[in-house]
Amino acid sequence: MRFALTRLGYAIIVIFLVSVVTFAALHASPGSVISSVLNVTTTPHSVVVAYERSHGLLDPLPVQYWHFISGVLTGNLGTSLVSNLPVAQIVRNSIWYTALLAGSAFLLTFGLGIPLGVLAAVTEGSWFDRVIRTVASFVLAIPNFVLAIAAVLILAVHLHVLPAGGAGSFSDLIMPAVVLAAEPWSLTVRVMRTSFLEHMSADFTRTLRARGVPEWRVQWLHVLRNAAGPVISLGILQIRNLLAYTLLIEVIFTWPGLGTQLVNSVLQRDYNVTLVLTLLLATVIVLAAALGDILLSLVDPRVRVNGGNP
Amino acid sequence: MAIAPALTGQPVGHRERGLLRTLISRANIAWVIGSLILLSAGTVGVIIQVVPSLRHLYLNQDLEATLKPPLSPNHLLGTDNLGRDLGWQLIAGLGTSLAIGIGVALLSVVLGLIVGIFGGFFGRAADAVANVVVDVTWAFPAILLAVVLAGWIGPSLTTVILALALTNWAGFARIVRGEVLSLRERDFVNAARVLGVPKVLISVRHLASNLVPVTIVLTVYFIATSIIGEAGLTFLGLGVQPPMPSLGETLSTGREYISESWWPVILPGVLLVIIVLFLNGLGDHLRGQLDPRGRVQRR
Repeated sequence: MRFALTRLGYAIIVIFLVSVVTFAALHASPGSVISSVLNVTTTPHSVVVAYERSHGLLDPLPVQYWHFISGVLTGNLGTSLVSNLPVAQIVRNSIWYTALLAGSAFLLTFGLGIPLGVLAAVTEGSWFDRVIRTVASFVLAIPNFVLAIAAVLILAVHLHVLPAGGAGSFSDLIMPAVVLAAEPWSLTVRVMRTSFLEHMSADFTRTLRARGVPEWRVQWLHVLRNAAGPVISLGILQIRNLLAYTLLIEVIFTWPGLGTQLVNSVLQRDYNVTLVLTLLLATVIVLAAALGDILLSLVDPRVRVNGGNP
Repeated sequence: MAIAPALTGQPVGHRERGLLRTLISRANIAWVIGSLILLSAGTVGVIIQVVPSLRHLYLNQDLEATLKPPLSPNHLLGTDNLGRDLGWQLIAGLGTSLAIGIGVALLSVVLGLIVGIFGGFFGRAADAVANVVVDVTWAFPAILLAVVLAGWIGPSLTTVILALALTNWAGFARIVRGEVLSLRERDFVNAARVLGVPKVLISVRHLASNLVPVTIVLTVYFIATSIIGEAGLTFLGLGVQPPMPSLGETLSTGREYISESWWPVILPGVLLVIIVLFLNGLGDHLRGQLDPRGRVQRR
């Protein structure tokens, strides 16, 4: 319990620092915010100054930061500089798409990765094992956006079996989710297989067999439970990768989630949206790491000793 | 000075033969040749961008010969949407991508060494500070940092290099810190401290020099991940801007014409995969020789 509280407190400090760094970087370039709204060279100087004053852009940076962060904490995320929509509404409109995509990929990764890894381990050396391992190494070698383009080229452009992009129906979800899941899936299969094989020859497994416990119980109850540790750690690490890659995959498949919004906002210099979305994603990553450490400390008390820093 | 060898702290396994001799030996000849081919292709790619009279090779447009398939006359690998020769585009792009990869790898490795040694060797307060910096960095995957940097300085070559270098180093700093924690208890470090050698000097002379093998292995992996990273960021429009060629730029331009022709996306994609497979293989191979205890994890 104490470990959990310390770890969460530390996560909050990190999130605070992340927000300071992001805010400072996005507001540091001179005239950046104003030049995305007004054409500074043609607008009269008095208008520019009036705009800056009314939007608090002339205040010192710490004061501006204070306005921003107190707004965030009271639920006021500001408005988009480009579309004038409340940022909160933009987040609401896109967050479920990202959650759906990342969630489906997460389910695919572990729903398919764990059973296939176990099956490959159980049938070690068979053709099934070899096929699974070959596919996993092959997938791991291809960067996911190259895989995405290849999938679009083959499945959408030439075979017309799946749509190349959009988010209107279930079939739109299939390609992005599978492409996103490919890399973490192959890692999961490999780690699960190795870990399972290690525990298949462990002392406790031999004892169970000697006591006459049926083989399927030994494998699917005892070995699997003990072999799951490395897979859980891997899963926690993969949350960060999944979120990062979601941005890329969303843009390729024109999936209207946070990633597409974020990249558009940067290219349109919509600082308010960029700031909120960046902070949102970074916060999720920091919290996921903290929750992961806490989860691991419940499974493996040794984690608590060195504060989650291996 | 009989005590000197014990104090120098040379990497133990390579003392007799020397690090360079170990790397360029007969057993590694295939990898050495492969690396030379990759480096020469990259150098050619950089030269044709730098020398103005050679730029026509990849920049010359021919609007009557757009999207010609591979094996066309004069264009072995075909042409892109503006009729530019795809083969030269790829070589020039390889130059940019490889230069970015090497630059990013060196930056990340130096940063990782500095922060890792700082955290591991300069006391508890330094360690706490280094840990916070590493954890704040960890909150930004490269794409997210690239977004922030693109908002700050605009999308460019610099954005890519900074975004990748400023995210890669954190993982390496953790490895370095772990290594330093055990190195600092070794006799040659203690002896140097007792003799009054300044900590900064010990860090360079005894700690960093003992981390050279691990560093080399990680540099190779970093080059591979950075080449992928460059392509990804440029693909999103956050990286290298046209007309500068890079593998990511060719890939993202090619994607706009994906319904008309496959070669402008498949060729850079395949080249990317081959380079990354080669570099990862090279990294694995070097790790087998330089890092037998498996301190560096394949990423």
